Amino acid sequence: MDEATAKRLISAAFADVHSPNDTAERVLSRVAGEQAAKHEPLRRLTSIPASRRARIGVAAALGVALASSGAYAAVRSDLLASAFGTKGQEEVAATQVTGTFTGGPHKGETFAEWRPGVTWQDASEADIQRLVGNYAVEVGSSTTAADVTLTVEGFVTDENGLSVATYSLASNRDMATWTLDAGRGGFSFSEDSPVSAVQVWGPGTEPYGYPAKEILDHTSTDNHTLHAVMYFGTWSSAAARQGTTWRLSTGGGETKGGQLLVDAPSKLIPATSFASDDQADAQVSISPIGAVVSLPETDTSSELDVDGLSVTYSDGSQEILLSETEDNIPESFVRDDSSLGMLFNRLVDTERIAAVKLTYRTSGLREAQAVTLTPAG
Amino acid sequence: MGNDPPTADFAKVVDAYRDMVYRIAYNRTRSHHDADDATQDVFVKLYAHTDLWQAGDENHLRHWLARVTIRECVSLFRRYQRSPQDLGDDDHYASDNPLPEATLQSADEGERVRRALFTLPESYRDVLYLRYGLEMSTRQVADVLGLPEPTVRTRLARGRKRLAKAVGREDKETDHGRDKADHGRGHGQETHLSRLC
Repeated sequence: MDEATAKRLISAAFADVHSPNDTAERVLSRVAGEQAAKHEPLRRLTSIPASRRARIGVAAALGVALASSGAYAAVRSDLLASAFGTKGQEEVAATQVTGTFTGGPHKGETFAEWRPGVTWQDASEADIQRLVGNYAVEVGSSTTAADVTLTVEGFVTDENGLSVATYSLASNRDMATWTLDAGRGGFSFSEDSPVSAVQVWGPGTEPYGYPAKEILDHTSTDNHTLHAVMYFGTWSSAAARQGTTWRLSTGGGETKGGQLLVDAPSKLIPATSFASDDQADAQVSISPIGAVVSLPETDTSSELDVDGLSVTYSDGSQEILLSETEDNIPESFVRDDSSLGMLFNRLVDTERIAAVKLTYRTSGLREAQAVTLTPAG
Repeated sequence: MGNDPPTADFAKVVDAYRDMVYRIAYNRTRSHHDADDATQDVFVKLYAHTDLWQAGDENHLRHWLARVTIRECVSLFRRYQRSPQDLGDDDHYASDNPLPEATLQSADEGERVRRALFTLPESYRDVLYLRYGLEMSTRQVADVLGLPEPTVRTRLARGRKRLAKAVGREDKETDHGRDKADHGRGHGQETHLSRLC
């Protein structure tokens, strides 16, 4: 579908959608403090059905090998603990939604669908040291705008260009109402906040930010200091070896605010490739912080969707990263026509992975394909 | 009260932008009731920003209204104890509300496209409507949604593909229904939306 067609269809879709004629009257009535003169609510034709809640079991977690990193000592342990911990986030239970179509060609048909839950894990300090400690960079650089100071505290980056960073915002003003809960650990800045966004980007992508998801760390956030973990990905593995620019945006999302430059890491977390024996299926390159799923070179499909991703450890236990009922991937993004980047909300022990289970679809597949991938080459 | 802004002027501003706000909210919530609530809340907030609606800066006002409308919808979902992500703001699964009866029962082009659009996750619906419904630039869409511009471009490209597929399904389903209804009477001349995609 080209852009002109999209414009015509979207315009047609909303041409007959209008707000009630007395909107201004009712708004002014509310403003004046009069008895709210809202319309009788339109009868809800549908509603969210009562959901059956199900707590999803958490699969086996990380191993407990001894630490071997000397570099880790240079990075404050609380930064990495925040990056790879629960951050005081509440788990989101998976829910199953059921309902019945009330009209149209599917009238009377029932449907059921899962809304995935989210689980969080605290990685042990030993695991953090063993898996990412050698690659962690403590930054500590700051920029200030609108009386708010952004400090990029530390980060790690893997060979695929996936990164996890911690940052803080500090102000003498009360920040209690500056953020809105966007669900599943995410947040956005409210109208009360002079900050509209914290963005990160790399050379050649300026002024557009990398795809990113920020999760608030409730354990260390108070009314004057906000701590967050940013999961972000670059558009290529090569970009992982380049520095990043961080912007504290103020002024309604416009390009106002402060900026700071962060050098590229000197060492990147290794990633391990997994493929099917004949390499005919999508492949996964996985590190402790994220994965890149790629179509085989022989597939010229232009669209790839991942429905499921889990790892099976050498002891037989399984870690679910994405499934119909569990979604522990705070950020995923399209890197190019044939690959997706995915960041995990936990550390994955890549040293113990025996197999990766992947469920994916492409525009050439009518049904999702589930494959088990083993270490490539 | 003497310093209150003139209500007649404000009413004109509301009338000028109420459909825009309502459509953004309806696209996101797929509910007329929620869209009406969100629209009122947005304009109540706007009233307090006298400098904004009296300045005559249409672009700034549109941007502010779009951004605040999206946030109001987030707040609505939060009040209902359901997150926007839970209703489809995610690339991994589609949205799952049953479709409004009025939408499902009609087969004219606008409603059929809307029906197809409403099967898409809201992450796609947002960018598609802001870009093509309001003719915002990708940069403006990125600012409104607080997303990186490349993400907006990706969602636009994939959203168009998904919309094309959904519209195609609409054609098939509508044809299927019409095949039954028109059995023995022949087919009508209704435009096939998918041919346009």
